[in-house]
Amino acid sequence: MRLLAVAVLVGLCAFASAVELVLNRHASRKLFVELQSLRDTQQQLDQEWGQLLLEQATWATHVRVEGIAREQLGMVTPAPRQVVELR
Amino acid sequence: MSTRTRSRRDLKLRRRLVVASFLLAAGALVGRAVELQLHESEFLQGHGDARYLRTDQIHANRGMVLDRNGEPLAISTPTQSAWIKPADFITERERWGELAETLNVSVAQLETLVMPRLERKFVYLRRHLTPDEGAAIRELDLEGVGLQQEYRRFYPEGEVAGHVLGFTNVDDRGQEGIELAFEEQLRGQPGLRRVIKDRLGRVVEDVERLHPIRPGQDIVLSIDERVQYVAYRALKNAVHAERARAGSMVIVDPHSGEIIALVNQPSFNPNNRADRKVSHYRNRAVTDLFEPGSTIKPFTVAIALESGRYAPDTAIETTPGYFKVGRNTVRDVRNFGTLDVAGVIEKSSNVGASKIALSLEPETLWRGLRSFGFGSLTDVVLPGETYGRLNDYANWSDIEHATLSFGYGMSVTAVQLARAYTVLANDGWLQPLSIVRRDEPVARERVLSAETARNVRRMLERVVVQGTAQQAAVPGYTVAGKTGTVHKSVDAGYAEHRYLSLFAGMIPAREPRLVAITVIDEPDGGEHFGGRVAAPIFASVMREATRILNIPPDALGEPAAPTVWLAGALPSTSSEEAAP
Repeated sequence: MRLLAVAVLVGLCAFASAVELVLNRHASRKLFVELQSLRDTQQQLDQEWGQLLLEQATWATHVRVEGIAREQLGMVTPAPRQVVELR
Repeated sequence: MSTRTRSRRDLKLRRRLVVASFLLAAGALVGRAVELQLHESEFLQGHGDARYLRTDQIHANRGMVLDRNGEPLAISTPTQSAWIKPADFITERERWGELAETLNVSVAQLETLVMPRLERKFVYLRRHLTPDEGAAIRELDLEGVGLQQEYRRFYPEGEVAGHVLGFTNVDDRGQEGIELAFEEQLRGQPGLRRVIKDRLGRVVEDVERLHPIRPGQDIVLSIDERVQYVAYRALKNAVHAERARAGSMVIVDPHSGEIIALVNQPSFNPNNRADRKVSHYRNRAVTDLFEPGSTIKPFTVAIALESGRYAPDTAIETTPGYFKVGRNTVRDVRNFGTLDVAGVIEKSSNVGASKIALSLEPETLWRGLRSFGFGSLTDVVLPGETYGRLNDYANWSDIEHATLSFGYGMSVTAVQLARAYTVLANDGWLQPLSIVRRDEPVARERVLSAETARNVRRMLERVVVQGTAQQAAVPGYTVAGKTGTVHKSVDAGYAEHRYLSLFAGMIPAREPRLVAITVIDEPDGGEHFGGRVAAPIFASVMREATRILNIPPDALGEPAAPTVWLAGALPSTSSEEAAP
């Protein structure tokens, strides 16, 4: 009688553990899919960052900035005698 | 009663029967399970895996190239490439017109691409599409046409740093410049992983990493992109105005040995593959050799001062302005009369330099020039660097011995000459140059006493104040430098009217922060003297570079003080200070 009770208990435990395994496995897959999509997002953002960096660098090219400064804004480099040095 | 016992027996029998058949069934199941598990598991596992296990490649981004302040100079961004599978593509023949229009080609061109390749499974239609083209092709949705993600290199500054950066080929492999020299670090290694994919091709589980991903490293250059731009613009304008064949300029920080700017003309735009002609993308400042001419004289004088036989004010007779060495004659532009050593530099007297050199042992002169790094690589890791030429003194004739003192009979690259001038600028220390940012000092070697270096700098200052390089003056700063005008050597001796105009300068002269070498090849605008052609470029670049780099002016309204020679100019007695 006692032996039977132990056997049933062990059996129940084994079953519970099997169910647990399945549930965990499922949870791990779900988390993995989430991780995967986050990685995709990260890569996308990385690429976007690269493109924005490129865009920024292109807008800030010296040739362009100098052209605008000189032609549109009429800026000039000050002559040495116009510069006052503060020490 | 009897019916009851019979039915009970019946029941017993039936129960046994049921139990027996259950046991049998269970036994069969277990048996099958054991068989599958033990005997066929490998086969089944293999087939199962083949249905959902996939090997995935993870792209490793190519590293960026940045300037010393972190400004991006080369960036990889994803683009799409269109490919076709000819066997499927041929079925869409009536719609080829639409595709041709999208790609701006003719249907005939598509045919010549496809028809000879019908057997192939994969043919590139066009690589690196613009985003618009990619979207348009996806919209067309033709059978047998696919898009694939690829990476392309962009160089925001375009032509400005073309020679330093080099470029990559269509497969994103470095071909020239930094891209080639640092290919290993920049490229990185794509990762490989084994994954489980579901029916729709989504990754469900990461099984194992076969090969870890190693993204490309960023490379931080020593170049300051703002100074680079200023130098690029000045050199381009000058080469155009002088109708010169080519030109180079190298700017170095003498304390760290870092190259702050390196430009050449003609230049090329690394973004534009069609633009790449060898003559345009050759990095002349490291690959091209030239005879340094008078820009060598400061080193001849430095060696003479170190020898202890000369002081800055030792008199040298240059009358009558020419002088015979064997069957050859060394000439000056005119008769300078009696000069002191400083005057030889200031007036750039060939006769004076030759007399000094001939009074020194050939070995002393040769060892001295070698110690400034002539005839050896600068360790700047740009592809194609050449050694330069400095013949062994054992084979010198007298005339060779004499002409070396004013820079003929040897050849150097612009970066080599720049390194040699950093020795004068840096109080006698020689160190390797670098194109990548240096965050820690490197091993350096003393080749000249500090006094000699300072005295030579003062002589070079006089060249700018009252000598041949007055156009190199930068308002507010002391400038030291030396001009050079070299007859180009051709097959049969020296060309009469083909020159190289040189200027080597440093600023501020008292405590140099920048050293610059300017080379203009065959100026044809009516001027060819280094002081008229190359020196003004130095001045215009330095006016801006000093402002950009915040170098404080050191000569505001100060009258030029008479030159005072340092007493320690005669050979120093301490052994560690002695030149090797």
